[in-house]
Amino acid sequence: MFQKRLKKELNKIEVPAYDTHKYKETIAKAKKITLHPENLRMSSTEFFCDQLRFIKTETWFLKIIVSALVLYLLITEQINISSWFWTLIAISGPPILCLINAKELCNVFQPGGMLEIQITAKNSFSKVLMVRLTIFGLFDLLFFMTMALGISMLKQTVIWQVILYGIVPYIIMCFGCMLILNRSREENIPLYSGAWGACLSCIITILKISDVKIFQTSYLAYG
Amino acid sequence: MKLAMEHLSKQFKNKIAVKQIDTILTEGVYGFLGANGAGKTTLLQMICGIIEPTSGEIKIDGENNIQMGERFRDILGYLPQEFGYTPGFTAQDFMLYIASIKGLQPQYAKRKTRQLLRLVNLENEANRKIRTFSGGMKRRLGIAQALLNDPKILILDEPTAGLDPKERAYFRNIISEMSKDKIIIISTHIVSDIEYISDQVLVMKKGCFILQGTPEELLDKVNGEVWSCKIPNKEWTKFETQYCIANSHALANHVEARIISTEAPIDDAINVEPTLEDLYLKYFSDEMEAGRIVNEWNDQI
Repeated sequence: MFQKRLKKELNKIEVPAYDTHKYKETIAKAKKITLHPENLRMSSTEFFCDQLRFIKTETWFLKIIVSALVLYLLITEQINISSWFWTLIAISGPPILCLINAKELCNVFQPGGMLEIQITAKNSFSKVLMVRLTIFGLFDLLFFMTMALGISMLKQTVIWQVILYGIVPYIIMCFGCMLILNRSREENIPLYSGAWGACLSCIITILKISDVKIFQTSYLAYG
Repeated sequence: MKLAMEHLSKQFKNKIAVKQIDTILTEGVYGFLGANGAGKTTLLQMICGIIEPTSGEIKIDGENNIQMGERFRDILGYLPQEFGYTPGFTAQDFMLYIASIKGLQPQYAKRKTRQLLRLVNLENEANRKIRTFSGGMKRRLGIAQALLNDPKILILDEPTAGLDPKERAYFRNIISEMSKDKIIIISTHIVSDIEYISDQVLVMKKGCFILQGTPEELLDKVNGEVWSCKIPNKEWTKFETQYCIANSHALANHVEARIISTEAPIDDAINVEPTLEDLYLKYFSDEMEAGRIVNEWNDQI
């Protein structure tokens, strides 16, 4: 009796029109998720975000400390464009940021089996490397833009000059580190990169001592 | 699924590591047996797409493995000969990282990691740094990472190196259980690793497959050529240089020996059941002889 009444009541409910194809598709997708999660793979965006958690906390900590310190020194100190201060910033901040990146990239370039495992994984080795380069690149770009904006607003300096004097040593350092990473995939990479950073700092210092006016407003580039 | 190697060769400068290999593998366990330097690892690296062949190609169901790209790597599990890891990683971090680059969903990756660490008896060591692991533990972790994506093609290069006999037996059981619907390739020079679990054994020497067949078919090739005999001590030196000796046990007046020879070495020699190790010794005795001469020469120097 109750069943009959229930059936009658249910029949009174009007089901709105729906796309049967979409309905079947939803059921199929739900089945796939709950019954076969082993067949599901991450999308490229998911992979990008997932890789973030494998970058060491220590790396982020170091990058934030160095960036904050450079920004603090630049903003609080009385900057004279022709003083040694610019030189010190050019030879310390960008190379150190780059060295931190190189050290983290070394973990991806681990010699022996790790590299082979990564080459044979679904997401190619170049993809893993590209994710890290993009993340570090974005972080460092954000740092340079903040530095340029902050200093140009507070110190009445030309924005392009701040960007240029920060980014040029950074790019030269990056270029050297990429060459080192490409040629020596071993645990000595941080040492070689450090040596390259020291060389670069020496070159900038020599240019400064030789009175090449690389930090003058009238100059667009080094030399 | 069909994995075909067609006229596959690899040359490194003046050395030919793999020479014109033609074979087709379907679902099952395959044991690649060969001495060190026979070209096994190079062949496996070509199958995995780590190195490209100098000539020939590898096809998965008729499609080139390199051209398949991600689709091929998604069905591949690989344990390299040398196990490397990122410094500072715990076993769980390592597994989750490999799961991530294999594209597994994070929730599923966590579950699968727990399951596989349990399978290889590393569940209680999940949060321990890999650098504190013993060789056997690292090897077991390596086996676990290869299984993360439930691969259809599983390639294990010297999987039992560093494992103790109990762990080796356990590993063989794991492989046997999962061999259904998979192509499993085990490369080794340890005969016992593949003797009981392989559907096919492929013996590799100087870059070529010199023998291929089921363990029983291969054993037939040395049937009637394995002898057990007692050699008097004074004649032992002569026998040692003349025959391929599989085993020897020195006693007071004589040496009990297992000898591989087409003819009975002495009149009262007893013909015994051959093993794959006997087959291995028969086909690689020349290399062992060459190795012995080099060692003796080095000792003299």
